[in-house]
Amino acid sequence: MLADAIAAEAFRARRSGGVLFWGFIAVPFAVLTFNLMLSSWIALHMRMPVPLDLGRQVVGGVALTGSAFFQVFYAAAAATMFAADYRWETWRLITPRNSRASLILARFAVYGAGCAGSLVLLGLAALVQCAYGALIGSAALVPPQGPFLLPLIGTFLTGWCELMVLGGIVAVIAIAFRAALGALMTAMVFAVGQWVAMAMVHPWEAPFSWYAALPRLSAYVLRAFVTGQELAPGIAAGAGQGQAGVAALCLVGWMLLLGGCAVGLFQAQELARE
Amino acid sequence: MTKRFGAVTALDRLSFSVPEGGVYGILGANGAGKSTFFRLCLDLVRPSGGGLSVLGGAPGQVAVRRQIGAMIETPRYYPTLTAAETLMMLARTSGVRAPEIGRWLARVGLMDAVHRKVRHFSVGMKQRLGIAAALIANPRLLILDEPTSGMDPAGILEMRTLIRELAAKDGVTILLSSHLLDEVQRTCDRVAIFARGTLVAEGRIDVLLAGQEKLRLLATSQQALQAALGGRGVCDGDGVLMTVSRAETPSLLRALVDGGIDLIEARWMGGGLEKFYLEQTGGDHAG
Repeated sequence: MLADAIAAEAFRARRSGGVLFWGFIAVPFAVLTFNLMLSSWIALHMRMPVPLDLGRQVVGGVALTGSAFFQVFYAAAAATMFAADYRWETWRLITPRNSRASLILARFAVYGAGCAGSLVLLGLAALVQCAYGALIGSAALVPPQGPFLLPLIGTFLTGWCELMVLGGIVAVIAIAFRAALGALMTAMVFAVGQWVAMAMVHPWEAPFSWYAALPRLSAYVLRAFVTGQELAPGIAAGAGQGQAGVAALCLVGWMLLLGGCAVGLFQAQELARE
Repeated sequence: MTKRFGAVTALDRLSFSVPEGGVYGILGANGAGKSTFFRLCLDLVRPSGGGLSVLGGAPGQVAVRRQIGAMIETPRYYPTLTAAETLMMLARTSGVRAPEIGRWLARVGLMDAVHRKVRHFSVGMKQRLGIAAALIANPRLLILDEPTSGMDPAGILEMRTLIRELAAKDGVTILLSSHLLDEVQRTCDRVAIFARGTLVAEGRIDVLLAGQEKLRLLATSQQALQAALGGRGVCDGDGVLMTVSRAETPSLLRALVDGGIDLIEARWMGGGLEKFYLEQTGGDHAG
């Protein structure tokens, strides 16, 4: 039953060009465009090519989904996907055809696939930028310094989980209030609130309770851990405190909790009107 | 079964059963509870008291709902999809691997609009697509809420024919609501009449209307006609008015013709479902 719902939702999503573009392609497209322009500017104004670590560039590209600004696009996609059936009053058309849990999980699956595709595109955009830079002489490619594959996979999974948490928040609000705009606004407030809260705390000092309260902090610590970056000079992410493990647990916990809430809310919801 | 929305009782201790097979009409004024009843059958809303069984199971069971096709109120669609894509998406949601999209679109007269975006459809076309959408998973039970709303007279005739065919040839049980009582009388075998959330009448139409309708006969000779009827009819202008059941009518007419009466006209007068409905609901128009 879930497979049927996913197939149907994927079919519908493929025919919603606006949602696909603005939700999942706009960010990689904008990043690529900006980076190509930057490379061209560097080629015109710098005499020496900038050395570029291909591995770091790709990992850095994939990590861009951590930006609160870019997350607005993903939140908009989620809001459209989860609130569309209220807006178009189409729940009455599809709810009798499958289980309610499957219908909501199918939306999560398609949103998750869109996010994964977007992350891949961000990685590809970084590759294209490097290739373009080397071609026009703005960049001198250097082989990856240190491990490349594990940081890439870790950054990818962290970014994906962070976007799924964002989608989960949007889904819960969209279902509870039957409105896309309310869900989008809540997601933005949540993102900005986390950004402000993170500015008030040093990630390496934050107690574990903050990880649970701030998925953005969990993602930040996890991303730093998988890429081997330091949270502060001399303080490696995850060093000795199990921060990375807790961060991963919190992120996955948020994802499951919000997914469960969305399904539970929809299961209990009366569709006397959509 | 009772259904309340806050302080409003939409359905109040409703109790009846719909036999399998045939066409069953649900009648009532706007707000009488017809759509709420349909939504309960589809588990879109849940009863506040009591319960209902659909096709032998609870409406909450997906296996039960997948045997139901439904068009509730004005059908709504995803505006980015065409008619064919809409049916494909709905069929996939229902788990139908190879839906007969062309067949159903042809049956509702939408073959010319297969690849047109649904947002460009007229109200009548959306109704037709709604019926195709309800049929795409080959349901055992078909629920149609105002299926001919917004349709032109030819469309109404087509829909009546389709509904009767589905019941007679495909063995589909059809539950429908309509404000076109004449259409209901022509299409349905049984009806239930709701007024302000309660059931006020239920049964076979011919039984409910027995004694309500009168047959008006017109022949070349009124005297000969009256004599042939043996005092069962009373004069009504140049014709004869009589009480007879619809089931008896064919044999009565045949007997008159065989008896040498030159019939010019045989017409049902007064009574009818409309009169019965108004009597039962007290003219309720906003339940």
